[in-house]
Amino acid sequence: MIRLRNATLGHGTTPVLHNISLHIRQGEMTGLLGPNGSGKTTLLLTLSGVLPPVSGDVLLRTASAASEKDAVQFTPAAGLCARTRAKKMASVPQRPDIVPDMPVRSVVLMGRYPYISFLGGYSAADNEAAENAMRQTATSQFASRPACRLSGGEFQRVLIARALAQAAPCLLLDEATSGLDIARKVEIYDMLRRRHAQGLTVVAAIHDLNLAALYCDRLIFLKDGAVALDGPTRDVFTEANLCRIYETSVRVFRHPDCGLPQALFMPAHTQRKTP
Amino acid sequence: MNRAGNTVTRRTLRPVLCCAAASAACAVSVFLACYAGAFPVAFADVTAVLLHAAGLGPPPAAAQDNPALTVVVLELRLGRVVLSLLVGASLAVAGTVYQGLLRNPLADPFTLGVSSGAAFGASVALFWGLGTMALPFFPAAGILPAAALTGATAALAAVLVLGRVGGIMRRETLVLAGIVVSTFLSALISLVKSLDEESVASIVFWIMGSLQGRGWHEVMLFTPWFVLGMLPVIRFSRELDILSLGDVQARQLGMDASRVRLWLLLGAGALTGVSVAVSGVIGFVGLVVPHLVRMVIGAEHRPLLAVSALTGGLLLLWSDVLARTLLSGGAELPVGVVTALLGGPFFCLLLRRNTGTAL
Repeated sequence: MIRLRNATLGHGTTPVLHNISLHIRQGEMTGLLGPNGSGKTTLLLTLSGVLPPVSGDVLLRTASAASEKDAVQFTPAAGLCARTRAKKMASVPQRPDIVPDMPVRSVVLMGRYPYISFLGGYSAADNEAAENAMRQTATSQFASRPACRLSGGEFQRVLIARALAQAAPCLLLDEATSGLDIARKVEIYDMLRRRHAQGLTVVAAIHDLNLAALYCDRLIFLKDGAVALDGPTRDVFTEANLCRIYETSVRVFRHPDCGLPQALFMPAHTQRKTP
Repeated sequence: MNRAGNTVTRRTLRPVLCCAAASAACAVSVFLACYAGAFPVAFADVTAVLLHAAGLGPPPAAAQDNPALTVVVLELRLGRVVLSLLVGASLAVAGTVYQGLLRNPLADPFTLGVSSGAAFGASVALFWGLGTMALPFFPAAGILPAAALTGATAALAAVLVLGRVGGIMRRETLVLAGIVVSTFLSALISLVKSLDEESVASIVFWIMGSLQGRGWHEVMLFTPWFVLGMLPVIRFSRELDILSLGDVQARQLGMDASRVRLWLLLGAGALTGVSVAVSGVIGFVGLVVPHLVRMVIGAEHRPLLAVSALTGGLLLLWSDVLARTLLSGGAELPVGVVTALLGGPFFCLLLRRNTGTAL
């Protein structure tokens, strides 16, 4: 789906991530982890085409022949027109700085922007897609309310609905559920997991390690401007790795029901002094 | 459910109702405004003259006794009233565009230095004594508006070039470039003023904004620019909603943010430039009207632009009526003084009542 080859990523000419190579395959559910400032947002903004790579290639799969495996075609993401790119991937931004005084329905409809014609407005199909997206994110009940009257968590769900309305095969989330209570987080990720089962590719920067371990099949850890770890969750989510990356004491246990790894942090005052 | 349904209808209907009310108010105001002025006319005569001109009535009886009546109402007053509507609408639309585009509640049509450019062009024309001369090939226009329009265009071009850093136009650098250009031009205007004591009065009067003596000639000059400026604004009004969320989201939603912003800036720049060219710098209309309308109908730009245009036209029309009737003996106030006197306190009131609400 997305391929990075020796890419250096950053804002303008200031590099944040150096010389990284990654391949996000179609239909993967990938978690993007790492300490603050490790470049998660930079990577996501580059994947969504907002930031051009400083050097190297960021390639986006543009066409694929179903029968021949080799006919998969990749194009530089920055070279695509914005509209085409938006039909390929939808983004849920990090904590939005501006909440518009517009009805929620209008905000969700913006997700259909890449599909409208030069002079035309939103069609019935666009409205239908927006309504569907609002149903899936439980935002239908405030469709007519101005977005600025919603709570932070409610507005984040609206932004997720907007990204779903975009109907792109790949969804990029930048800590999109950080303002939601735990029940809503689980609800949103359950929904994403269902969409993933239908073929949606998901790349999500997640602050919550355990949430990432529960929902993502693959984890990518960024640290010090490079990919520190990349692999299946069961392999990379270990005590040694987490201690090294977060530079703090971490214990990893198995989830009692599903057996997925879960991390527990160790506050200093509870740690027994070893003689 | 029923109650929720009512609120929904009210919210979706509100822009339509506001639009209808403002249109009706505009139509009535044009009639009433033609009645106001130094030359005394009877209300019935004004109505008769206007109805006849609109092809709806017989020729007015009073016009035979008093030939000046038709001239005063149709030539002098109606032209000026129409111009005030158009200028007010342009300033309000430009203000709405700038506030959405720059995501800055204090942006107005003059933030990007367009007014200073126009004022500088006009000052230079007045300095050289060209203020009352006509253009060589278009005698109706006059050199003063042409010089102002040239100045406005040059200032906007300078801001657009300065605001582009590394090939990307950012709103922060745009606002800074606007401040730099307008400060520099203000200094130049002061220089022109101090070089020639005689033209100071006319420059100052012009900078304060006035519609005195303006009429159908200016409407003819104004209309093509008005249409040219409105086209990109109407075309990209939906995009303005998305752009007001910021560049990152706009591009993630599939919009070529820089290109759309350039078109909107050019459109709003044309509207501002030509407004300043015909009437001088009239403040507060472009700042207050978008705020006021946004508080009533929300920030969705398609209804916001329509209602703002009508409200801006109304505000300037009535401000101009006050400007030409407040002083006795036929003397006039600059209309910019009236809009500032009305707009300033009103704006403070709005800010105090609505502190804490999102833009």
